[in-house]
Amino acid sequence: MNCQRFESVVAELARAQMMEADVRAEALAHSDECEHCLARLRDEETLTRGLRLLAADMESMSAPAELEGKLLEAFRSRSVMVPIAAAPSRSRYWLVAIAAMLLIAMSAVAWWRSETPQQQLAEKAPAPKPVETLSGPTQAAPKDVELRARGDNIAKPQAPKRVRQNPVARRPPETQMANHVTNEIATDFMPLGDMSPASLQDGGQIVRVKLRRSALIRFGFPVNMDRYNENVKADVLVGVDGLARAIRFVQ
Amino acid sequence: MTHKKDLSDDQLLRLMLAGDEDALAQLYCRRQASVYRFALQMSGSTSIAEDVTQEVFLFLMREGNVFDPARGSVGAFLLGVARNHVLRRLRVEHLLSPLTDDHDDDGTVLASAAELGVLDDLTRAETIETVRRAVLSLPPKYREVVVLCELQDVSYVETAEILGCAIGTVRSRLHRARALLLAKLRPAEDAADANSASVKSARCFA
Repeated sequence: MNCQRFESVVAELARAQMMEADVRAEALAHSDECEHCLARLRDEETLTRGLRLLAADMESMSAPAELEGKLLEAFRSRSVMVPIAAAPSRSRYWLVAIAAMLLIAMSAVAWWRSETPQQQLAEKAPAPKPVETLSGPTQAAPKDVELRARGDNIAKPQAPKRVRQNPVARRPPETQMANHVTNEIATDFMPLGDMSPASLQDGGQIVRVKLRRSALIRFGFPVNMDRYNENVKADVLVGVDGLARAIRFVQ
Repeated sequence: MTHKKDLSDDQLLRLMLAGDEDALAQLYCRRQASVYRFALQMSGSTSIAEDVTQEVFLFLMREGNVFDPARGSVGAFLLGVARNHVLRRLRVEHLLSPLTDDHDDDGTVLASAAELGVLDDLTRAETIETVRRAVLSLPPKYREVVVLCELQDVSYVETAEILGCAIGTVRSRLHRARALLLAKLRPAEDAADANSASVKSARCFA
């Protein structure tokens, strides 16, 4: 055994831990021959002795007696509290369920309220013609509408109806426009030639055009060669001088 | 309660969780001393040791069902919980004293055994006190292996379970910890030479 190997087993040797008999014998033999390793062994043995003295000194130490009483008391109070604590946890489920049902009910009511005016308005949507008919008696109108209009004339003033009908008539185009805008994906505007902000000071116009897909290549976009001849949509920013200043591709 | 003495820690724990107070009393009686001593040896403070012991058993009452017998014994589990509480307390109370190889916190040194057993000349009480201080001055990761393996006589396997590390790590930390302890217990005049020797060995095995 050499010193390095001895160093790896010296602590186990000093602590009298279980180890292979051969290794133990070799280590002891080495310590007889090597003064440095013998000193190391003595150091380790001394340390072990000191640690064992400390361990033996503390062997009898334990937690104060009153601690057990406190813990048992806590255990009893906990045991008493368990059923009490269990009850709220069950009722909590009910509370959550009731809250969820209330939420659903409120959502349903809110949805119904939002739907009802629309339905009413949708039902009244064909009414502009009769209203216009009332204002212009020369125009032809369906008989039932005429009858309803006459009845309304008697029962209610016409003005509020007009106010409510007009937005309904405008709403579908607005919605379509919004959908049209939001459904499109566009690239940023890319300058064509030497576009500077100053060149657009006088205003400009965006013109929607269709280009060959191959035009994308000029701007560095990847092009599927199978669809090379297809068209793509693009917005061209045209200056007041009629020159194209920038372009963006739209999908 | 007499018959409960024959039950294993696992069985007592299960009974305790089912609400059996006697099982708790028996388990406490069996395990409180090692938990208390571990906390005391780690912190050097009886108040921390008491608090930690209480917290460990309160934790066992509240969350004892997290114990997994497949991962170790109840004793190791309790010491693991105690370790976490002790480290937390030490962190809070700034009792962690970082150790450098050339720094001795308490200024007390023991003679090297190589110097023909000067240790033997010291009284038993002095020796114990000196070793206790030296252990307390170790960095926590070395202190805990010394406390577990040397003072509590816990096996390497259980120590590895408690610390959540490999057995090889326990061995190397213990080797390093012993080297640090020896360096602390040497006389001042030998400190320079001895430290260099211990550092060399520590570098090999840490």
